Amino acid sequence: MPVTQELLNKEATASRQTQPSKHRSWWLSLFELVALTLILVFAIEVFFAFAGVGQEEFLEPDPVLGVRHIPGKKIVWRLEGYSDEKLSSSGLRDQERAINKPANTLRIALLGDSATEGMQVSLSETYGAQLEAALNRKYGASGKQFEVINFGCSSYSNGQEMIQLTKDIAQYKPDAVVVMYNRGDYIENIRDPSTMKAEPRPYFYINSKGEFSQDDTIMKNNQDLFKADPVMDFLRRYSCIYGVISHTNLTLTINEPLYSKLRNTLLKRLMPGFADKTRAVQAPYTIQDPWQVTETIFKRIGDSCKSINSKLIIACFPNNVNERQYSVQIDSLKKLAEKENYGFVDLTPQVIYNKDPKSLFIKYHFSGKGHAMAAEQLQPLVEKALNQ
Amino acid sequence: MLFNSFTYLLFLPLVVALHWALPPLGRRILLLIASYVFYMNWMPTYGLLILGLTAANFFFGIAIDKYPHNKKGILTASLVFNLGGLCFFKYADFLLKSAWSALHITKTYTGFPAAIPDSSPVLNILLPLGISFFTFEFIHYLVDVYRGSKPMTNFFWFALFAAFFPSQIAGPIKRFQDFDDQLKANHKFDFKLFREGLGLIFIGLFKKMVLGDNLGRVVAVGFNNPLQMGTVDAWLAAVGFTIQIYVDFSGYTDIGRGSALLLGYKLPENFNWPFLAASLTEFWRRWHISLSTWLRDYLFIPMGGSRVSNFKLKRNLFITMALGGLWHGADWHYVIWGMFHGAGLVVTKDWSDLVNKTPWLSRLRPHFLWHWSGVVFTFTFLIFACVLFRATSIPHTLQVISRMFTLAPSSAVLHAFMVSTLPVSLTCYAIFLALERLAHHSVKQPVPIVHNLVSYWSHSWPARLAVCVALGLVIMGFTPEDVSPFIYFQF
Repeated sequence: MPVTQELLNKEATASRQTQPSKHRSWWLSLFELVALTLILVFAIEVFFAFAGVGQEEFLEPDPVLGVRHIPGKKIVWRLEGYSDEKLSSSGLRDQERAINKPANTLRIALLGDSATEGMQVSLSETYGAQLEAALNRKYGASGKQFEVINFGCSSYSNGQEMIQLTKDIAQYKPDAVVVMYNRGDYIENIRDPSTMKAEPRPYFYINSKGEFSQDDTIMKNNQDLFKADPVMDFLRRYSCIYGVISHTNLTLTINEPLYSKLRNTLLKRLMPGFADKTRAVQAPYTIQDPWQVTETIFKRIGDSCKSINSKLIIACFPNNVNERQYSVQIDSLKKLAEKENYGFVDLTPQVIYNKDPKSLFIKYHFSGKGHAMAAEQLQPLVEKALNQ
Repeated sequence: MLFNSFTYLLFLPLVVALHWALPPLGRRILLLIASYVFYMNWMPTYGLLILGLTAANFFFGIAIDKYPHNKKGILTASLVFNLGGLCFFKYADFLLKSAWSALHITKTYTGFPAAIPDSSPVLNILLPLGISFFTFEFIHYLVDVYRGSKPMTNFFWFALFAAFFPSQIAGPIKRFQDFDDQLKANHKFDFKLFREGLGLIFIGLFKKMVLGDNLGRVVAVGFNNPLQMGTVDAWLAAVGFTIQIYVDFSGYTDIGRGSALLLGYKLPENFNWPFLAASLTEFWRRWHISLSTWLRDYLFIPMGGSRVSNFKLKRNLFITMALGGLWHGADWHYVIWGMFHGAGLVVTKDWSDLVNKTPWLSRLRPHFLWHWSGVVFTFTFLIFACVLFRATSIPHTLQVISRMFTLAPSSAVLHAFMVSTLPVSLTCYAIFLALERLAHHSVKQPVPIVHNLVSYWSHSWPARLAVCVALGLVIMGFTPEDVSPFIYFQF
């Protein structure tokens, strides 16, 4: 007889002997349920924290940038690769950095999306950390110190990086700024003006007069997302259970069309406040040429760098899948860099001519070896920019 | 439809709720419709194939019963029909490839035939899900009717026996007599069965999603790059797959059996602590029980079983396991896996005979060290067998095994294991198994604390509800983001 069956028989006997459930009042059962739930929630939080589960939530809404890192958040990342670290108290995927630049120190700011953020590897393996170590190894003896600060944040478009540069990074007074361009960036800078749905983040366009402008209508129309919510903030920062539910929700939304349909239908009916909040309005402009907008953004980034006496370097994430459209974008960026006198490096040849190109990536992002390759390629450009 | 998909999470409660809301006849009709929806959710046209096979086998069964003088001929025709179908869908490409390889070898050494294609012709037939399990259940039905059992006379209930969704894709391989009895019984909702079913589903999901899928990722790191594995890596990958295939398949069976219990049906057990087997013979009594008993009843015994000469007995064992290997997959490494098990069973038989004949060895047998060394030896044998099973070819198998015996520093597999959730989840599972054993022991010799816990659990619905939610959260938290199908779905 299977153990479960034996146990059930045993339980049935025990139940017949005691029979307490029939006489128990409903409020006692309710009290028991609440007490047990509280105990189990606490136990599971502790268990998840110990196992490093439910700690992949690291972004919070930001009224200017759309999203930003949660300062000081502990992250155990297993979605692709692995890392187990804390974000800095100012929300950087980096060690603690003072805003005031120490004496005899040259600073390099790294901007980009998840490729720069490098959650897939440990902090010391990111190209920022490896570049900093290499520069300090080379020039440490001469008394020069280098700080390579990682401002990379998952999902950021070039437009968000442009805002980030003036809003957050300028105060760090970087001597050089490296922007890692990735293949999806140019699409993320604009939105289709005819669509009524879009991710709440700043978008950009060039109006009929040829003026470069920011489209913040979606941000404004979703302001309730950015309102301070102490409960959600607390859960996002400290609750692993919240992290698990949020992650499962995201995974199911991506992989199970039936789930997202049902979820939205049910939420709209039962809890309208929690239903899909990404509302958008018709944009006040025509369909944009994404490349024209992206090029203008890079020029603005270059202007911002000049205004803080910093040199701009554009690095292009490798076109490892040989996407034609991305090759065209890389060529256009190269021409722009030559024209505007920015530093430029395309990491694609380093992948193509590598003996083991697969080893440079985990899945979509750099492996430790990939980060090392990027740091090695950036080093001469940074040295050149800082010597100018 | 996958048991570990969101669709099934909606499908099962809906079917269970409707099932218990309907009168007995309506329940059966609902189950038949639900079973076909379950199957056709994957590929609608293959639902028609299963329906066609079901209809043909139903009439074969009736014919065997109705025409006793011709029943041998009808049985032969029905077996040719079923095995022919299986061969076409599952083995056509394998047979073509093997024939091409044989011709290629002949041509290399003899120059004949003068011209063969440069590569093996491929038909690229999409394997209908669960075809091997359907075929085995049909063969069991026809042979049992041939042996004197009364055939099922209602086509719809026979179709439900064949397509019953909790056991549809990967078993357990049911016996029609048991199922027919359950169909005829007027089921009443039994909360005890319902609870047991729910428990089995949770355990199955934990095994599959928390342990199996995470182990699969770690194992893949090693098997995808066998030459880069260190010694520890190679052993970890091999042991990891041995555990993975168990938790994956037994997890599937638990969910299937649990789902059936929610509907008031009992499916046969398929696993009984297989890694505690002290010999290979015992292992096959504990592992994939419904398959090993099928092989015993419909292959081993018809070949003469154990009432033949020692040589023929060993030959029968070997052939049964080799064919069992071929049943698993259309590739030579599965056949060799089966032959490896067959050879293991032959050696086990010889060893057992030797022990019986040798008094001093017989005296050692009751000692616990004898038993546990048997457990370790059997598990080690299984590790090597599992390498054969997981590898994609014979050279691949040899690469992995050679790394197990090459002293080299560990690298990617050990790292992947250590940074995964497996150290925690495997420990939790080990604790759960130990508690289950303790509870099992407590049935015979009551342990007060276990008794009190069981008693509390049996009368406290809040405790059960809270634990179910907690278990659900744990499964959600530990499941990797990419859902993978069950290993046995491919068979």
